[in-house]
Amino acid sequence: MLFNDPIFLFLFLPIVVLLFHLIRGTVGGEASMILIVVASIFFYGWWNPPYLMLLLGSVLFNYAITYHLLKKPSKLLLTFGVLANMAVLGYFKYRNFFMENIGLLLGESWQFEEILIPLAISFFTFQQVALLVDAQDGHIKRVKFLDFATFVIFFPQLIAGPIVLYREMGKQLQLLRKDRGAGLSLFGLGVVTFILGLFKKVALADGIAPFADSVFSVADQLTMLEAWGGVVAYTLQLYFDFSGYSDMAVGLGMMFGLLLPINFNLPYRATSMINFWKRWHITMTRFFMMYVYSPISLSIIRKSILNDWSKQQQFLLGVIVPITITFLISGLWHGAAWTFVAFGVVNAIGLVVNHLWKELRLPKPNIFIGWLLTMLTIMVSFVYFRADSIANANLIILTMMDPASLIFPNWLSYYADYLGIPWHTLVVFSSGTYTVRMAGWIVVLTLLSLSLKNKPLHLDEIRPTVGLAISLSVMLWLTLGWLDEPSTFIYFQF
Amino acid sequence: MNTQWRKFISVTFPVTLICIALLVEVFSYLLKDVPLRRHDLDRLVVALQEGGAINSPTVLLGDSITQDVLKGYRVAPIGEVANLTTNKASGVVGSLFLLERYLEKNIPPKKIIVASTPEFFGYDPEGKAAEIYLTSVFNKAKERGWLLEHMGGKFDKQKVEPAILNIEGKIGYKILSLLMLAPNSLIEGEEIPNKIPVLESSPVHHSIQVSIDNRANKPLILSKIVEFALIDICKLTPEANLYFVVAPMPETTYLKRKEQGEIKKIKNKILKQLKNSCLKVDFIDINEHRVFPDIAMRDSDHLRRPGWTAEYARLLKQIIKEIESDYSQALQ
Repeated sequence: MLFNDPIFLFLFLPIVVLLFHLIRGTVGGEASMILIVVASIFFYGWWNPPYLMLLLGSVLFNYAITYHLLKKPSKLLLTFGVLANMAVLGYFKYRNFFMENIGLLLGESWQFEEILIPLAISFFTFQQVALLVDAQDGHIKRVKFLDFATFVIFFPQLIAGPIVLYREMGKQLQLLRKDRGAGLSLFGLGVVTFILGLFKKVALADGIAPFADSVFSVADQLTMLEAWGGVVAYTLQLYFDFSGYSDMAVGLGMMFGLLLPINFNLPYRATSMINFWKRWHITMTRFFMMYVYSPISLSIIRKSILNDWSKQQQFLLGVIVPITITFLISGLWHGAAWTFVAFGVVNAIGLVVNHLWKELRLPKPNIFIGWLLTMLTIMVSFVYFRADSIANANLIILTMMDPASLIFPNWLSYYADYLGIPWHTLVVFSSGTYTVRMAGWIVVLTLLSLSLKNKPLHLDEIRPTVGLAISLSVMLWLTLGWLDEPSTFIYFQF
Repeated sequence: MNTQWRKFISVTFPVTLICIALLVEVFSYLLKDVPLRRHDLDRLVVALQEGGAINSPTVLLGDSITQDVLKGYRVAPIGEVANLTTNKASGVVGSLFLLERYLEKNIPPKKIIVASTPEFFGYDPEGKAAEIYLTSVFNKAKERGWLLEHMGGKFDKQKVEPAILNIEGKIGYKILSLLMLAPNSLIEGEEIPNKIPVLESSPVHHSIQVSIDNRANKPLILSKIVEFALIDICKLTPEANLYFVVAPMPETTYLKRKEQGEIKKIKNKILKQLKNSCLKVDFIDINEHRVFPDIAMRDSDHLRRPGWTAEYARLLKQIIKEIESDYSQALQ
């Protein structure tokens, strides 16, 4: 079930919200949490019932480990728990990828039956691994099974995040169970945030998606302008798709009285790579910083102090190595393909250059130059993120940089002749109307991506006025008008 | 939830939602008679509706390769040919409906020429294209009846939907139409293609060659719906001769189709289907008389401008002029 599916919007959500508040008001918080768990199980099972057993098995297994770690911390048990989680994730998501590549290294061509990757496996696995580590480190004191189950399978964040930490949800869940906490007080804001997210996804992301798709589907037939157009269109699609989803998740959370963390903070305003990763997919970055980057970096720094390494050695091993490892893992987390590895590598290079720049105390570039360089790096990484293969991604990037592929569309032949630029009928920019519409989408979405603040970072600015009601109504009606064919969310595949 | 938010969620927001929906519905009702002018076909329909009688002895139907030529060139003296060419998206059915609408104000022509790619006869509009170029353009009861009879349940009845769920179609395009000048005559180019033009000979982008190769690999078929539409074209004009002009094809595509006997097959099928419905049916294959090398194309289906387009215009002009005599000589 997708958040933009009419079954979810008009049946599942109203029923669950209504029952939740009814039960909460009559029976109590604990019963309403049981309803959330049951509804979440139904929500997940709707996609593929057999894999429900995997999700429930994972919850039971991790709860058992957590329970024992809280009673008596044990590195051995933690290692076992983490490895078991990784083994399940590895089997479903990475087995074929690794085996096929090992085969290639050995000069063999091994073909494996395709495994249907359980929906959200990366999200619920990492969330539980973080919880195990936190239990071992003493960041968590007590966990009730109902709180644990709600934390992992709460349907607003189950499928594609935000990746929440128990330490930020535990208190809220306890209050909810004890019939206290936010309750209905966040409901109105939740509705506003959800509608905004739905609008971002259905009207904006799905609106520009066909333009991006049309470019990436003909990677070998593009000209420079088309390649640029497609890459910019996809950069905007990805943001509005995922931030729309995240807003919907946060909004849904608020409808149930739970405040989920935000995932985006105007990322396309970033003026450096370091700044970008503080604004983009914030909860994933936080997870990797806390559980991958920091442990590696700290252990290296400890060694460097003991071994009296030079400053250069410290920087190389304490910054460059952890960044590279973190982003390689982050790339692979998105999917078992070399394109995702390349996505991680490009971002790692961008971050290393950024750190190096700071380390060498080079002059800070002009804000616009910084923004431009950041966006270029990000767009290149997104080409790998979206392309079907490394070869196609390389082709698109080369086309973007190749002056020889600057060919005007035939309907601009007058200007092309004037400027001395060759012209042809182009595959994507085949008509003026299509191209102008694409350009219009790009301009509007660029402005919105730079100006539309991410909720609920600025919740206190929202007042329930008639103006808000009109804006929301227009957004909702436009969204419903375009809802005939709900499309999947990009991050659902991870 | 504080009082302000409670009031917002339970009163202000739902009431605003309903008010906006009602407002849009009223607005849409006020605009309901404004004809759409989203694309050339819409404008052609408006021109037939708003313009006076032309009573041309010849009607020219066809898909975009011919439509493209007619936008720039005059292939017959003024008033001699009624240009009802459109693009492929509405299919031959669209051509039938255009002819039907033309006949509402004009006397039946003596000659009907269908100048198109052979792929036009295998194409049935469906999905979004059918909605934009067929069902939303031709929605008279008779036309919907035809679609229902021959194209099935998807054209069953007029789609009833609140205007608020189709603001783009029911308000947006209508306002744009109001901002445009109403066309009241059929499109006719200005330039008369008398001389042999200078033809483009520079190589084309490799992507065009890919799309030409793809075109050649798609088999030619005659759709059942097209058969019905062609029969009805003849029934509408029982005293007219029907001429099919096979429009220029890229050389490699043409040779492949010819080698496989596809063009002959489709020609024989059409002749067989129409022999009892039409007065006279004949075929003129422009490609038999003039080679259009792959470099003549600006994409798989259309000719490069200005040279090759002018060349097709020149040949078409000759065909129209000589069509009732020995048209094969006209192409020399």
